[in-house]
Amino acid sequence: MIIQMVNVCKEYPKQQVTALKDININVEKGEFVFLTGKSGAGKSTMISLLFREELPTNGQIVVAGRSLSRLSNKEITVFRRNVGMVFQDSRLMADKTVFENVAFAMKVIERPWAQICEEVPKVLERVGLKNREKHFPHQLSGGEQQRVAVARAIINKPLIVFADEPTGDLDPDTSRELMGLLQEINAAGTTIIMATHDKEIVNRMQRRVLVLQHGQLVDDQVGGWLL
Amino acid sequence: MKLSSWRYILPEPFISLKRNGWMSFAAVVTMVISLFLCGIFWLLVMNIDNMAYDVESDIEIMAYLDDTVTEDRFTGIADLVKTFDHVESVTLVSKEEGLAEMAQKLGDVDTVYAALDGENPLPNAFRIRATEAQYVVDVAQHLSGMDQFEEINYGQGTVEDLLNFTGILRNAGFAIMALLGVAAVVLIMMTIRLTVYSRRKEIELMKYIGATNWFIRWPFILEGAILGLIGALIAFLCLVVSYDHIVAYAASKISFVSFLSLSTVLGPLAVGLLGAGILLGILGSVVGVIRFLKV
Repeated sequence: MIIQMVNVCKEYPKQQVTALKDININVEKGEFVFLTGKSGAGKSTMISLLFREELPTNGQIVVAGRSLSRLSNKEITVFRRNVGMVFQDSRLMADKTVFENVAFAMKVIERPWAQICEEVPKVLERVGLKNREKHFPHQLSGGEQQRVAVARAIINKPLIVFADEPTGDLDPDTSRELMGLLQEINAAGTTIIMATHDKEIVNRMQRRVLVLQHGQLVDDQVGGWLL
Repeated sequence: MKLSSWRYILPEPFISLKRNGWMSFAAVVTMVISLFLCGIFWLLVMNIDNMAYDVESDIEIMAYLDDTVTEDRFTGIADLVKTFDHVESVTLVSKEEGLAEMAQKLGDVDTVYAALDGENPLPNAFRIRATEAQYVVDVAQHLSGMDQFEEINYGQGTVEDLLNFTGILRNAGFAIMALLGVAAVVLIMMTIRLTVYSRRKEIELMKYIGATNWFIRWPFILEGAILGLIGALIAFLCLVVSYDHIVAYAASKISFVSFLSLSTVLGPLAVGLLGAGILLGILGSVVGVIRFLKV
């Protein structure tokens, strides 16, 4: 089991909002899981809990064998090096080239330069951006930018990739291509948790779907769009 | 932090200074103006202090000996006075020396002697200096308790007023300087924090990717130090260039006061400005980054 959430609640007392209520899930290594629901259902909160951006108000979250509520600053850093993150906006650094953006993820975790020069071109080839190394983000299409973000997320060979609406800004064709890429990454053994409200994608992929409604898990099964 | 990581950290501040050109420029300008103002005021206060010290150090106590005190006791009395607290020096001014001094002050020595008809009306005296001007009154009071002296003279009244005045001048100078200093600290820290703020997304991203706090902090610390150094250097050069001119101008208008020469103030000015610039740059960066590291 790579992810386990037990009785997880998340409240924001200041705003008097209960974002998540009593969530219990298990995710096995290598699964591809969709997290669906309307806006405000709690998808993004769930991702940010799993990414240890926030702590749950109640309950236990164990990711890759670590209980997230008991991590020191240093351990959070180590934890994040083992998981990848893809955002809706690709969050690339506008003044760095494609190569530099991906290399940045390796620099940050203090990998030697020789290794960076060897691995970045490989991963760029894998995401289909072989000849784009020297381009800047504004010279790329939305889909290509998102591919760079995926490359950055997987360059350090994470066990899990969290994707928060990665296709949200893309047209259907480009979305399909990106999903193909994520599927390949999943096939290579990486667990993927993807929050989305794109019905078409969910229906086509036929993977496990977790449905959130007003912060509660209302459905959890393999298949298409369930709302 | 691995040693090899410095390879990634060291170029970062230079890249981002260039990349965030306008922000860097604004920070440096703020730094230059604040430090320049502080520097000017510091120089002013130093000069005021120096002038006050000059004036104060001219204060001396004349203790006139009673006529009955014979010459063989002079050394003993002088030695005794020297043991008092805050007494720096005791010099004997004999009747003859006193007369010579007075005659010299009045200009025409022969006329003075002639007018006195060969008599010397002056008593023997000690000229006493206190270690610091503020102790003059204390020392004088102590001396007036001794039978051997007939009269103690230190410019009673005038000295107290003078000390009051220089005291006010000093305190006012330091107070304004402190206020200006606080304003400069706040201004510089805010500007540096702003440059950090403009890059909060980047910091957040580094955290998400798994960068350690120090890996994120170091480039900002170095950048803050560089901004501080550049700002302080420019402010320093401006001050050095303008100080000579200001002093030359002031000296031509007010001839009776002596100003501190550039060479005496150069050292402390350089250390103070560069130190403050670098320190504030670093502090601003560190404080600015703290908030964004908490993700």
